Amino acid sequence: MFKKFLGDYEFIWGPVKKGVCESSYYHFLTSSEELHELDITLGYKTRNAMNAAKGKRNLYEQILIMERIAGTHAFAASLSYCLAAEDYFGLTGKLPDCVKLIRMFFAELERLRNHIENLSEISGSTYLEVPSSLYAYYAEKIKQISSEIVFSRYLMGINTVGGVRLYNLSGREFIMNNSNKNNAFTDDKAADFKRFEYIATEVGSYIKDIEKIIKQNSETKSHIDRLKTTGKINAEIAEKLHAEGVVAKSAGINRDLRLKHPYLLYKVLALKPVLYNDGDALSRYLVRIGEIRQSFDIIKICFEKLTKNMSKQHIDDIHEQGKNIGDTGKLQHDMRSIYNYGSSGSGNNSRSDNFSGSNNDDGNSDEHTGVERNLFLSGVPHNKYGFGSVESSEGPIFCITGGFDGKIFKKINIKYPFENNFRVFKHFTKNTMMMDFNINETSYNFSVAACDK
Amino acid sequence: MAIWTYNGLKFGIKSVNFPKENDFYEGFFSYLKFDADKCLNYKETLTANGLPCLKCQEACPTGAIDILNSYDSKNSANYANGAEAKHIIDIKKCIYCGLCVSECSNIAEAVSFSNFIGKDNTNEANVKNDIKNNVKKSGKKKFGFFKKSLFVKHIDSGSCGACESEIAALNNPYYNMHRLGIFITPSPRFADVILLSGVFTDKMSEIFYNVLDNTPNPRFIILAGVCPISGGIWSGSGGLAGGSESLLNNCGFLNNKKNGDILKTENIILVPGCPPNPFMILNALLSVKSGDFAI
Ligand code: SF4
Ligand code: SF4
Repeated sequence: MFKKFLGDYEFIWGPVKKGVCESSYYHFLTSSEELHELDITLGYKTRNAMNAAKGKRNLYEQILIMERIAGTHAFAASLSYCLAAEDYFGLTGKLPDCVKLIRMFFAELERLRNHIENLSEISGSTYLEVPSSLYAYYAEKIKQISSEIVFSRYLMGINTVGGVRLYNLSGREFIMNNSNKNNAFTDDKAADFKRFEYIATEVGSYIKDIEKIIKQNSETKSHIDRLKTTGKINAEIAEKLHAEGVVAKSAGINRDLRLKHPYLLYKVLALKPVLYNDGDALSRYLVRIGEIRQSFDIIKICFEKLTKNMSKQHIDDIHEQGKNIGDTGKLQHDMRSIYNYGSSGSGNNSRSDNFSGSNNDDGNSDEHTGVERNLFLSGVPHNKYGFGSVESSEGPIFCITGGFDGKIFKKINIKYPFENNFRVFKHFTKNTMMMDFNINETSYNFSVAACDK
Repeated sequence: MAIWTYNGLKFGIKSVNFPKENDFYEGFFSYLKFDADKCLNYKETLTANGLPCLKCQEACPTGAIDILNSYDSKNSANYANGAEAKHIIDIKKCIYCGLCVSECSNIAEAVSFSNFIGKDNTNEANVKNDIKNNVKKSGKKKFGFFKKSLFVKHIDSGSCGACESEIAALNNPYYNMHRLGIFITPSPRFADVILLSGVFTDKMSEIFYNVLDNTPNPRFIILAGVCPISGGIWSGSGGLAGGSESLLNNCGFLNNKKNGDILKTENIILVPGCPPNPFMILNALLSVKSGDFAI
């Protein structure tokens, strides 16, 4: 396969590797120090996710599948699916701001967590165990508050087509029963704000500590020197190979969807791209640090806007819908209702959308029938496709949906950034040092599962 | 370097006391709890037409709930007579999505999350209890072979990455499994426990057998997450997919026909959850280490 010279030897690594990692197969050609060729074989863990999704009973179950293609990017994936579905049903413009803000809030929380986890891995790969553990500790903390607030450490199950499923669980009771300290989850209505405030302040305190670690880390010469010039990529070739996300940003290519094709409310935020030009592991490291700060800023802005925008009516509405999860007619996220509803409500798209709040100022939501409540799902099945794109921590996730049969989407596909980045990685690891391989690979933060969907 | 040693010390000990006391973080949950006293079907107050409420069962995306399990379904009088509720939720299929909890939250609040964690990885009543597959609980005599240290080899057989992340989390200062003498080993030849995650794809199955052959006896296999146990969300409605063969392979390690012999001879322990909580994985590992399971 590989063209060998005297002294070169091949070896394979994988699919089962050291430690805890995903299954992928690396085939190296090396002459001790220098890595000449690298062949990456994926596909050991293909689960046929798209087929599995087609066998589901409703849209929410499809979301559960989408989340579990790559669990560390669960929120971004489900969001891209929801955006695609909403695009299909023509709901994009109808979503109330507070739902958008809640989604942005959690999307940024996930990005932040993934970046912190990667900082931990990078520190680990340069054998700095202390900062590695410290970062890991804060990533763990973020997972814990996620679990506390939304009952999933990986933010699974929050997104629904046309809304968010936050008020879903008897979580408050649980938290109260199991809580040692008297925290604020007592009042029903106030608790909904408090959740976000709680996350924002907790994450804020972690970020403060993380900034300290980052500072000390950047003063540690052995750390920075190992990262500098390691795994350098060339912007031109990277662009040709369609590098995505952090990898692209490290080489000065601005492909951030939140800026280029803003979804949700990212347009209002006027984000500045985090760009570096060296294209080495250090740049990727710095991009991640920049994005951690950026994400936290967005979380703060979202929280502020939520407190301003989220009127009592909104909360009542969402709450009502969350409560009536059993009442198929009323619940906007209960996709089992969509079938009946699609047939009865079809062709009558002009009915008012209660959830948007503005035209529901009478506050008497019980007056409306279930069909009206669910109105924004009344999209008539058509032959076009819905398209959704979301910037995850590692790059854009695209989702396309179509062929709605009254219950589920029969045509559905999702694309993660990792396939492109694997190509970039493969191209630029040639003729690098074997010693640096681990650092280089870690700085890309691949998810094999996302490629082997 | 010195500065890091200092910083590390200054940071202090952040580990939980877990096996000594159950100091979980707030919001930790391990199992679902089914409260038969609250469930409408187990109360005398039935719905008007006498039909049971099946809201949670209908909502469950993986078919983990069987409300009628302990009933004679033809004899609806049983419902009112308060027959015993047993094995309502099959935790081996559950993906902890919480739909059943929210379905029931405004009906009877019979289903809820619980943070119970049993010494030998058992769970609460009314939740199907065969978490230990093939492993008998040792009686008086403890199996003290792994008492000092336990080496774990992890294999990913088609997971989503969240399980890996949770297993890796065991190394962080919060759980810090090193303090308990549990280590991840790169080679199966040093391993006492094989920690398997993922749906057990065809391609990985051969590799798994290879690893198993290289692992010395006595050994345990721990299935981490609902993926290897039942396939979880991946298996659910396989029949509906239009006869796609490949989909039926996503049914996990336990249901895979190829594993017939292994299931009979190996010691297999199940850790439910999607992803399984690190505490639960740690609990299973500790149970193995302290010899709570007989060989
Ligand atoms: S939490 Fe488990 S039992 Fe309940 S609906 Fe979800 S999968 Fe089913
Ligand atoms: S059990 Fe759940 S979290 Fe774990 S690999 Fe399977 S789908 Fe992912």
